[in-house]
Amino acid sequence: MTSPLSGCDAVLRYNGVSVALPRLQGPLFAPLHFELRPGDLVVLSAASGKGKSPALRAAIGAQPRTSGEVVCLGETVSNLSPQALLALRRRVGFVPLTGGLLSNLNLHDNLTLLWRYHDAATRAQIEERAREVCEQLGIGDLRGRGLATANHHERHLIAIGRAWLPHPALLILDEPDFGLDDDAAATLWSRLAALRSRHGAAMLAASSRPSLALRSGGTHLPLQHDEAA
Amino acid sequence: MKKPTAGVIHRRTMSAVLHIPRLLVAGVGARTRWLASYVLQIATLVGHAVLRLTVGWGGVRPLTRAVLTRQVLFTAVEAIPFAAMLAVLVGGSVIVQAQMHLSGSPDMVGKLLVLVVVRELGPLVSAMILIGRSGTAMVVEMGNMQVGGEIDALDHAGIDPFEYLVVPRVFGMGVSVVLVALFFLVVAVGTGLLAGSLLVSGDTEAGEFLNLLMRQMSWRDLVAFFAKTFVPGLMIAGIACYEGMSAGPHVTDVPRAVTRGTVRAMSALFLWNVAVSAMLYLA
Repeated sequence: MTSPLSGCDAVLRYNGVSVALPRLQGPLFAPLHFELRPGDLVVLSAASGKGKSPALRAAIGAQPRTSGEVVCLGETVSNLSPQALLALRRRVGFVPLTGGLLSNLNLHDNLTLLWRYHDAATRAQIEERAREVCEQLGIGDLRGRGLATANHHERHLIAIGRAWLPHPALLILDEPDFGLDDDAAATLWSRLAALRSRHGAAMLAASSRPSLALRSGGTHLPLQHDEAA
Repeated sequence: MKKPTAGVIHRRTMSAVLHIPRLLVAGVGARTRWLASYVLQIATLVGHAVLRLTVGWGGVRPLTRAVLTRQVLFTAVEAIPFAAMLAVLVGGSVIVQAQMHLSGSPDMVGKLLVLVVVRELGPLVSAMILIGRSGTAMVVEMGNMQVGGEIDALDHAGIDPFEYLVVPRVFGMGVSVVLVALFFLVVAVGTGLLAGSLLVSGDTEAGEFLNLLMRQMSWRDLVAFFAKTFVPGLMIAGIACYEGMSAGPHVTDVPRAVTRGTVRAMSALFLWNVAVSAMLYLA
């Protein structure tokens, strides 16, 4: 799976990608080379603050690169206009570390936000898909529940569900097991593995505990840091 | 150490004295440039929002329209009880002053209501109510969303934060100020009519009073009313969204953004009000 970069059916391809942060000089990590095909899982790992989140954001053009090229769902990210970039992001499920749930919406509205925004389905279809996603991820009944009633684990599950609801070909997860104990993290990763095998979704994730993530297959890609830099 | 000569002292003094105006000009210049840049940014933000909802109405998503409807409900409808209370007090106090100082002449009372309530106080008080109720709430909401990474999350999910968050709030506030101001005028004039019938001498009837009122109004008042309600509404929301979204990365930045947003919205409101009055009534 890691290089060579030959496959034209790759969902995501990183070709020598590195990124930098404004306050730091030089790239955050050594150039990344890998590609993801349908059903693949790549888990990036590194110590905190060493570039996992920026590496993920580069996939959707939300992080400036210092080198290399990202090809996501057949589009070369650096060539896209802001509108085309938004259109690409609608086809990718991205779950940030914070979950990114909107505090002014209840849990159900957060879960269904993307589909309602994209006006891609009828109300009945959205409800049906929401029920299905809740079952797949083990989310309980959301009816009438505000955001404040959900704990950290539930919020993260809903954030994953929100990204997964339109069944994107690529799901990008920034530390989905953050703050979970080992049992809860293992359960989460097994549910994500089921999504991969059942729907053929490709997943790119960052995790500080890659061994848990890789129990049901996948590739571990530790970010390499140039100590001299 | 060698003592400086009188010539050297004179040159130094002159140099220092001449440096003061340079500093003043540089200071004023920087401040003016900042102000021009700020006004331009708010105008661009508001202009884009209006264009999206007018020229680009067909491309506006149903969810954005739903957010717009909720915004008008929250901003205008929920402000009605407070606006009604202030309108009663304003209408009543204007009539009391008219009775005290204008000998209760119905013609003068009608003129005073148009001059004070319709042209100035109605639009101004309505906009101030909405700055206090909704403008501040908008800065807090946007600021907290910014700090919590919610705006970035929307962007990363392919949702245009400008279309989903800013457009409905800007347009919703514009519409809301017009609605609240209309309601304010109706209640204030109604109160004036009621108080007038109780206080003003003679037996002026409602129809006659309204006739007097209408006679005092011209097309300028209509233009001024919309210029003093819809445009400030857009400006208030534009400033609130801008200040909220640029609040900063920390929770403690949000209250500062609220103060900044409130002061700037108030300043913009009063400046705009004076400018419209001057343009329409002095010209």
